[in-house]
Amino acid sequence: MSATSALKAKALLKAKPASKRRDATKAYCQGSAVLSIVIVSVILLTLLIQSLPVLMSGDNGLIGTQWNPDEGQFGIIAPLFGSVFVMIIATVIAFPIGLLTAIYISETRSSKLRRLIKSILELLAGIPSIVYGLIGVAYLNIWVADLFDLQSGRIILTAGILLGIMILPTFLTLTEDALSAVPQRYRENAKSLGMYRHEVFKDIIFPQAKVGIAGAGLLALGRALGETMAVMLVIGSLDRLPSPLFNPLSSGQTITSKLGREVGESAFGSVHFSALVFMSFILVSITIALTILSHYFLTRKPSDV
Amino acid sequence: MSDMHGKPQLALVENSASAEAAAQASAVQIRNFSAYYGKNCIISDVSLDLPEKGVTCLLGPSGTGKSTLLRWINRINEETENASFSGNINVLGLDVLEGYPDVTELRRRTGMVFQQPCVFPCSIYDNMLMGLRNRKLSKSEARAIIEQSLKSAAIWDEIAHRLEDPATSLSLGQQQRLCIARALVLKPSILLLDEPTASIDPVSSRAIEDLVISLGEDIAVVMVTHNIAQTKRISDHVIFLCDGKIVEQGTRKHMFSMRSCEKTRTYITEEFCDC
Repeated sequence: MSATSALKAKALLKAKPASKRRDATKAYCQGSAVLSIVIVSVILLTLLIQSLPVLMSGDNGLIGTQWNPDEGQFGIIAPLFGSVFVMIIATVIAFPIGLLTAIYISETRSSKLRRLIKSILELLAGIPSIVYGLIGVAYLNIWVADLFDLQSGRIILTAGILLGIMILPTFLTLTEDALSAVPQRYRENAKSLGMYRHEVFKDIIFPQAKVGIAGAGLLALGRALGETMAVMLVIGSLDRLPSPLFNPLSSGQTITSKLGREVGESAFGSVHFSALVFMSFILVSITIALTILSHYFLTRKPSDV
Repeated sequence: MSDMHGKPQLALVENSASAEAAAQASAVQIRNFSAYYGKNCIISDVSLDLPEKGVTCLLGPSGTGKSTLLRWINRINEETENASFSGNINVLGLDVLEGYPDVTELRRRTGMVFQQPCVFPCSIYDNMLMGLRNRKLSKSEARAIIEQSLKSAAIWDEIAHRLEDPATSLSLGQQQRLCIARALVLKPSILLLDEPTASIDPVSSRAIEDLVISLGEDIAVVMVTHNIAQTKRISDHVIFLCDGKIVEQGTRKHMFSMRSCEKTRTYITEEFCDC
């Protein structure tokens, strides 16, 4: 064997462990991904199986507004409506504020200040929801009652405002990321054409960032929908549709607050428990749909629009 | 020194009548100009005049402040963090700070094309429309201007049949010529080119060079390059910058002759500068 061949052989021997490591890493990553999918599937399947008693039982008023376990009435419409209503209020509050603040930070501030503001926002996003809930009970609740001259501030509006405050940091920081991700050269090219700053944003930056902003919004909505503790403390927990339907000043219920209150009281295996599990199945399905949708938007290239 | 928003803190040139007269004779007049990024001085006390017509090449090694100088002419460098300058720049007889309180007006009069082709993610036609958005033009007028600009940029024949296609579907060379056409829509008196051929193939590069030569017959074209052969092919005037200072400036004939200074000759022959 020549010296060159020997060197090549040595190199190949050396390369083998590296390729083995690569294979091991690949297998580990693939295994983790498969495990995640299996866990989510098992959760969904378990929820579905546990929901069968209520789905199989006859007249339980599942698609109704009455919730009375003693009489076998398990209408999920009121909490489902409550969840969606609270989510809409949170969106109306958080999205305009979040979007405008993100535009302000990304388009007008220096990167140093941007980093500082984002760090603070990320801290806010990390505050446990129960802390928000306590603030809601202690202050927001009372302010809302005073403002609208109500006996109690534990209403859908309070829950919506609180959720809006809670999802604001998440939405804001992801929106800012989406705006900052648009390369600076687009701004420079547009401005060198004599375009004003607002025109640059409207015609160049926003069209490229909008998929990311949509993804941020959906991710924030997912959080809003899944929030339990804070909402439970301020919504009033009343199992009925507001009257009139879109009256935010009435007490209500969301799926999460319903689950939070009643899971402990229901007997495992009972129809009552099954109805609660079915509600959680619906909640998980909506959250997964929002997550998939947000992932689709966040990973979509601007040029795909 | 001025801050990054271009507010002057120190004016080194007084607005005398003679200065104004001189400013009107040339497209751009730069006096005692220094540029900084934070505390780093990139350009130091540069004074020069750029003629109203012809191609002026800013030549020099990388990192000598050529692009920075160019970017201050239309104040696009304001967009760069920590950028500041001192001194005075007159564009078309007006001080870039005092004469153009609305910087967009300055930028409409000085088209700019950057090193990397950067088309907007919309159709070719919409890319061209971006520069016309503040003019009250009918559709046919806008279309005529766009067609004229695309013809001037020598790209009309290639894309006339697909103006509604995404601009990103063009080749890099075509994208760069589209960027030049997009700047020409503004009918600028000065065209600033920051190494426009640096990232494209030789054939497209040569097409752009021909375009620059023809544009130079009507307007002032200022082009940053460190390509000596290219400078020799297209320039009317050459300004050789090194280490943030002007080493020598003059006509192409002078700069590429044995009469140029030793540093210039060394750079031109060996592509090396020991500044």
